Amino acid sequence: MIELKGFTYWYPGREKPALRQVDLRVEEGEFVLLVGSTGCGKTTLMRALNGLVPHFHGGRVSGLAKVAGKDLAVSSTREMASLVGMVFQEPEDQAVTTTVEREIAFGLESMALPPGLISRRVEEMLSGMGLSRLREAFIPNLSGGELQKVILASVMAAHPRLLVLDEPTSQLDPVSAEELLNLVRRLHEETGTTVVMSEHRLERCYHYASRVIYLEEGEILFDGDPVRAALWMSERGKPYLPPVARVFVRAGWEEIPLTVVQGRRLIGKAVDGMGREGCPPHPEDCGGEEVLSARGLSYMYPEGKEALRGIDLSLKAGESMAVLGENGAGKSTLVRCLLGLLSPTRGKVRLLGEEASPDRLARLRGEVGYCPQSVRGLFLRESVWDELLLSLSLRGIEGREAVDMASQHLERLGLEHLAARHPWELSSGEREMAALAVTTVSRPRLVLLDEPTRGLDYLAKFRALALLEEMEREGTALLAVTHDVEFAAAVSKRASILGSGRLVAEGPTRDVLRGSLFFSPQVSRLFRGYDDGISTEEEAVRFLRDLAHKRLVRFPRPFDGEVEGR
Amino acid sequence: MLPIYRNKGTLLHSLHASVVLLFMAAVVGGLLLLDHPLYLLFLGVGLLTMMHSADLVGESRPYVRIGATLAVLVFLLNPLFNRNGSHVLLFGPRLPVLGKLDITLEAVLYGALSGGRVFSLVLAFGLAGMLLDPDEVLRLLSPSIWRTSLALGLSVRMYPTLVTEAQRMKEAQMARGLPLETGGKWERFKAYLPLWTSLFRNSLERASTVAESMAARGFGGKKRTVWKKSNYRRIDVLWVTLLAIPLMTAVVVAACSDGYSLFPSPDPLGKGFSPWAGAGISLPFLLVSGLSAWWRGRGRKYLL
Amino acid sequence: MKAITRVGLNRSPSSVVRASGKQYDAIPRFLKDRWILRGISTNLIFLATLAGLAYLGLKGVPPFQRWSVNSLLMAVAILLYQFFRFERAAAGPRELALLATLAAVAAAGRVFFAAVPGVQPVTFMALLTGYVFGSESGFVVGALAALLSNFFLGHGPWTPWQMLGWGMAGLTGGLLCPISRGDRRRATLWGTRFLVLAGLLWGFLFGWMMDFWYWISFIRPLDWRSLVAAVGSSFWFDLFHSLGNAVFAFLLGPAMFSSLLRFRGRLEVVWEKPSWENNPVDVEGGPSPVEDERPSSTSGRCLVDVAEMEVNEA
Repeated sequence: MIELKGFTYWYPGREKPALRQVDLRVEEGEFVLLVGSTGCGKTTLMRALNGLVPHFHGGRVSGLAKVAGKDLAVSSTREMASLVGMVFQEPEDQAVTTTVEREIAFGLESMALPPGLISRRVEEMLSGMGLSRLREAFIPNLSGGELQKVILASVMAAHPRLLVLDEPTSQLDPVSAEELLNLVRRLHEETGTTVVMSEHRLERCYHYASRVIYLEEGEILFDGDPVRAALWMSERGKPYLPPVARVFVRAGWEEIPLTVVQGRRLIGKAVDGMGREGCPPHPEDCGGEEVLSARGLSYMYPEGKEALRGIDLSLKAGESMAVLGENGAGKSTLVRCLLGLLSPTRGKVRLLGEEASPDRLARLRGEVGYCPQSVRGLFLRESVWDELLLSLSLRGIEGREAVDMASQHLERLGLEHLAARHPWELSSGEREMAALAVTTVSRPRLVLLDEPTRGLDYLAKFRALALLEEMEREGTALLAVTHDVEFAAAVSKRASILGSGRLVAEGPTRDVLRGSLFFSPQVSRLFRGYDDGISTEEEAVRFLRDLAHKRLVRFPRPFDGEVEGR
Repeated sequence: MLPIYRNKGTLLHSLHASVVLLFMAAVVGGLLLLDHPLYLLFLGVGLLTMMHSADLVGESRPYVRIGATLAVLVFLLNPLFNRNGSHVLLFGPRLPVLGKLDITLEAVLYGALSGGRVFSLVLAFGLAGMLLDPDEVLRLLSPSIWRTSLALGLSVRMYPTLVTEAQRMKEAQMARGLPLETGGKWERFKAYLPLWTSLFRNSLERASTVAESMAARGFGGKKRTVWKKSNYRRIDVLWVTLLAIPLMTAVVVAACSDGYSLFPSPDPLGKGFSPWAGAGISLPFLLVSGLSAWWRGRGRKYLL
Repeated sequence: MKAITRVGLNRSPSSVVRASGKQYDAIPRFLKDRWILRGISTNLIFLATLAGLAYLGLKGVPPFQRWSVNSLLMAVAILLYQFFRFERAAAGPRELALLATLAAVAAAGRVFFAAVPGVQPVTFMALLTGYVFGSESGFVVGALAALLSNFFLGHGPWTPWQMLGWGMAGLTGGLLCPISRGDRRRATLWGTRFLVLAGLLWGFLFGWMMDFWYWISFIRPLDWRSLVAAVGSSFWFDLFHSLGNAVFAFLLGPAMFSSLLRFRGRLEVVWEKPSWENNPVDVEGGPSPVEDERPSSTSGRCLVDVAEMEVNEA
């Protein structure tokens, strides 16, 4: 199906190749998972599979490439399109037409299929993908998850032999992400289409893949089945494993489970006969000054839709809080109300001691750090470095001091290599990290993050976490609105779940998360019944190490996971 | 900002786009081709009843306002320049550029008639805009000018995304401390500049991602088919024959017999007016309002 | 093997792919080029239509003697002609997505500034597009932006005229397009100057076109005095429009140029080693359902397909 030999590729005007001497052979019907840090060449490799690289992006190529029997050197993307289907990250930037039906037909029209056949294929896709209900829906009205499904349908309508998915769920909430991945699995099972995919949510597809390929700096360093890949990565401290496997690797166990079921079986065997441990005590009130509070906050959209109902919330300096909830629960509206960007229909919001309003926000001049959901809106300057300096100068910090602060900050986030880059040329994960840097560089007293972990891989997430924890210790208050439960569990001491405009559960993070089957991180599901107090990876690793010691299951192996990487 | 089209579920909103298009074309044709005040009156009143039947009275207010402004302008300008009438109402002074400023009855009448015409035209276009789903119209056009209709469709789709993005961007920068809402107009304008360039660049970025996705789905070949789902219902043929064709015929018939002139003195109203054509013009409107009322009640299940 | 492509519309799709070094025979290409012949005939039909309409109008043949009808028909003819030209132009995915986006940006800007009298970002955007991407692109962006923004602001008898007016602005924006293809700094400098001037001019021209429609349709008698009055009635609006354009061009021009020029940049594809022919590897593969429209390879050299973009012989 795929045959690459010594494939090397340079983007136009770049000295360093994006892909280096790639040799790859994929057989019909395989399910290949590509892993690697952001910017490692996954996207480029995928683009090469249907000739977008080099024919659409330009640049220099050497080596041989053949996909589905076509030589890429001489086949246009257009010829490849009917053989290789491609789904990208951002659902909003892929749709071309205005209605679902026409979107599905779009590719087929471009391939000049007869209209009769197009009608048949459109019907087939609508019913096969469960989209019939949306047949005539206006594309901008669809949610990200629905839209991504439509794009997948549009791509599959051509009956491609190879399906390429480039982090298709990075912009989706967990429920739609799960739905999409299940759909991909079903397509693979039922149609035998070869699938090549890259994905951050490894817990949902890792064990399913028939092959895992690890890329670094444009080179394939590992290529093999998932179990061997887990072992290989654990030996080299690469963190691209599902959380279940990762905690076992980090705790130094030799047998590595890939799913929650397998993991529970392993723990069950080891725990056998041992008493359960009690929950650790709740975090205490840190007693700082109140920086953000909402009393009876309600908000109604001008169209009359009620988004928030009677929300009470308070955040003190040095405190951290996560608000969880599915898409459309009103999370972003909540953040915008808290910032004073929207004025509440009822209730009061106090931001750093005064009533929140756009005016108040303007007078605060950067004392509040706000990282919006779509971070592209944050960048105004030509380089990440200039952007940091702008943030600092808006806060009133200039000159030597600003330069020092900016460079320290970049170092802390491990982003030195991005300083001179143009914000628009970064990969989506890098851009997310750069946005975090821009919002936190001036050491704001309050940080509000709206979905900060979209498109971040494990390593980046870890660095972000470390930074936020440190800032918290220094007295910054943090409010993160997210649907990433793993992140919420690790970053915040308190959590609440927002459902249809109300805060339905509020309390210490571990209590809130433990009480839920779906809003709980994979690790806490792993230990449910064994130790209900565990909700973060660190705790899980500690537990497993202890377990290994007590039972002498295996000797722990040193793990250098976090230090590794660029 | 919401698009002006919104399906309000009335009979007129439920008709096929081509029916509405043909009907409105006939109305616009009539407004441009006919001179007899009675015909124009019928068309104008017809439009007002249509506005009512389509439940668009509130939404039409801006059109009424713009139409009235233009109409007043026309009404005022015409008598100033028109000297052709024989009944002088007011002998004005001799002005350097305009010449002798005599206001004649005929010119005033012509101004009123033209004003009414402008007003009705604005209303007709406005109604068409509010009754036609842009997407349906695109669908009608797509076989003949598919590239343009694809581009238009893409920009219709991009528009809401851009507007939301602009809003979000403004908020993010305000939170960051950019003085967007403070200071004088000029300061604010200057503070917005980097935002706009950034937004512009952002949209270019989007364009290239969309382009990549288009290319990946095979767009860009010389050959291309156009898939058009036929959503004609059999009853649409009935609507065309019942509403659009009679109105068109009546307009053509009226235009052929119409010889009404205001100058040098107004013709009697009977001249150039054919009652049959007049009836032909007003009947479709009556039919529309009658059927719409029925539709609102029980007619819905019989009429589609 | 090297091919350089330029992103932008080109007039005849028959010049789609030319592998470098290919020999052309002595017969001039334009004679072999059916598209150009067809282009000539379209131009003739278009010109004949306009001339015919004008003739019938002057002759007083009903219904063409009514200038309200006649001018509307002319406007529609020009619009259709320009759109057909765009249909014929070989726009690939990049161009199409870009033009649609620019139209959406212009429309959003127009809706945003709707409350401020006279400020019309569409004029500026159309001129900008015309200058960087050529006349056809400028026309399409101007016309589509007018149509699109009226979906939000409201359609009226002015819609076709606004489409025409802004389309024409874009068309003239393309006059200096060749300069924009040269050195980037020079392109930006001259582009900004040109945009300021053209913006000042088009503020008035656009207003006059609207006034002209209004005058020819509803004001009688059609003499120069009433024309001056109709045109003069909108003087302040036009002045604001014109100044607004200049301010936009002066303040935003350079930054927008640099991003547009970067977007347009040259696309170069180099495949260093010859392809599979010299290194046969067994790869299974069925025939593609899409029939190939081009000969796939020429004698061991790889032909770089650049879709519908123009390939400059190096």
